Amino acid sequence: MSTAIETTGLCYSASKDFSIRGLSLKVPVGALYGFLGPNGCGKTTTIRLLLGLLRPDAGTVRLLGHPVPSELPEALSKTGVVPDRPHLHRYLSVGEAIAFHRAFYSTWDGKWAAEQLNEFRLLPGQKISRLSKGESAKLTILLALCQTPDLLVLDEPMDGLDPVVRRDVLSALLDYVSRRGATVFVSSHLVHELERFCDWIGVMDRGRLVVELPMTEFRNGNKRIRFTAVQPVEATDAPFTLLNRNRDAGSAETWVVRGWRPEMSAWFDRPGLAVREVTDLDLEDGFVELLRAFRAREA
Amino acid sequence: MLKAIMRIQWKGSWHLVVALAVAAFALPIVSVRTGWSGTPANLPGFLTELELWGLFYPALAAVAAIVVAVSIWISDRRGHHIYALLLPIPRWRYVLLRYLGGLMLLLPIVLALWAGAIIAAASLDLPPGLRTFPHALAAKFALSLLLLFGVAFAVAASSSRALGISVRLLGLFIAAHIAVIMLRPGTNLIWTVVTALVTSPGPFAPLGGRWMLIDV
Repeated sequence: MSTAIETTGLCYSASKDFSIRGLSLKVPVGALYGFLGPNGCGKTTTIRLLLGLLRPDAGTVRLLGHPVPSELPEALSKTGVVPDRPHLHRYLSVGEAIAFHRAFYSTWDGKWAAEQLNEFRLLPGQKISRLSKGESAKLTILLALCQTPDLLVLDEPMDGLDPVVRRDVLSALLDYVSRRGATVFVSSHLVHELERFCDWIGVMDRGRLVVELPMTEFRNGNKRIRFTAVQPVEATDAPFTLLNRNRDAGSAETWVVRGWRPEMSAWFDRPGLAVREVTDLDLEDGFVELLRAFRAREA
Repeated sequence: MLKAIMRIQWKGSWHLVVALAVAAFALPIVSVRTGWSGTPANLPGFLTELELWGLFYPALAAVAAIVVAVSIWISDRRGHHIYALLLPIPRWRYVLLRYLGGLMLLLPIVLALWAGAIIAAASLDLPPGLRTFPHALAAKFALSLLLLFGVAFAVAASSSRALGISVRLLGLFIAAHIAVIMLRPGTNLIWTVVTALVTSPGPFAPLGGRWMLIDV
């Protein structure tokens, strides 16, 4: 098994206005996979399809090698989930919620759970209904991690958390991943949040996967190229992908490209063309340009 | 797993179960509070009053079934069932565990009624020809509760869509009842259907018949 999550041609129609179309994801085993996209692009719907909470109209899903939904319980027994909204029984205390959750997982790590409870400064007697947003997030991540899963699926886990809680949650997550080598699939609409720890990235927009590649490629492959051209230049035979172009004053032009490698500058070695500057795009600019190009193409 | 489910269900509903158990315990005792005065002239009135009290048993069973079923699912519903659906067990098994846990919550209510019926029966000095039926009454109550809980549990566990369909069907039935009354004033559709359901061989036959702690 080389992929922890694999979807093929996944389709789901949520409403007249929104649908997931032909989504094919491949999350390698051991990857820290960031699932990036603007609000409302279908990240949560995709996660629900992966976890068998929704049934796709077409396509297949495999979680840790198990087809979903036919082997869903087997897949879920090895998957820790942090959903996008509070879902725990509010009338229970922290200790009762842990005891209840533990009953369903033979792989539960009680020792680590006790340590983590202490680390997160959660008290077993605290009522879930009285926990703050940060404390709820900590408890949810504790439950997901202490079942010692091979795969963690986190839906916007840091959304709305203050920096201190964010750091606590992230550090527990990375500690777990470093010890167990688990695969992490984490969704977010914040580029910088994923940039810090993800080594793979999938970008989604309007129910479609725009791109899926290693983070290094995403980070290093997006460039802004300024050049002068005597005549207009077309990028039809270019070895990179042109995301955006702007005609500046005079003969100057700026291109935003993806998939750039240094040797590709040779493509500009032609009469009447002179490259002035090649600069890195920061991750957020790269993400915005990528979406802009995708939407222009879709339109 | 059943133990864990039972524990959280008890935690979520214990106050309701205790209240229902108190009511179940008190009902037979209160129903014979006037007692048998010892004069034969008092007998028909005593039995009539007891028969009227008998209406409260199926009503209590209905209330207990609905309250327990709703209390079992309310928390899952509030969380859109996401927590339950992410547990690593087949869905039918989760529902079965919830159902069995619910039956355990009903047990104290049945036992309370049984104890109340035994105490009420023992407190009376009945004339020859009258007999007490505390065990039969408790068994009839338990069976009715089981039936009603099954229905209430299924409704409470169903999706919002299924609930919507059920409510629409019920509305249609009431509309049909009104239409029938207007066309044929002597016909009562609701009464006909209810009678068919609660009289043998209807599925809710245990709810019908006489609920008598004391009878001839």
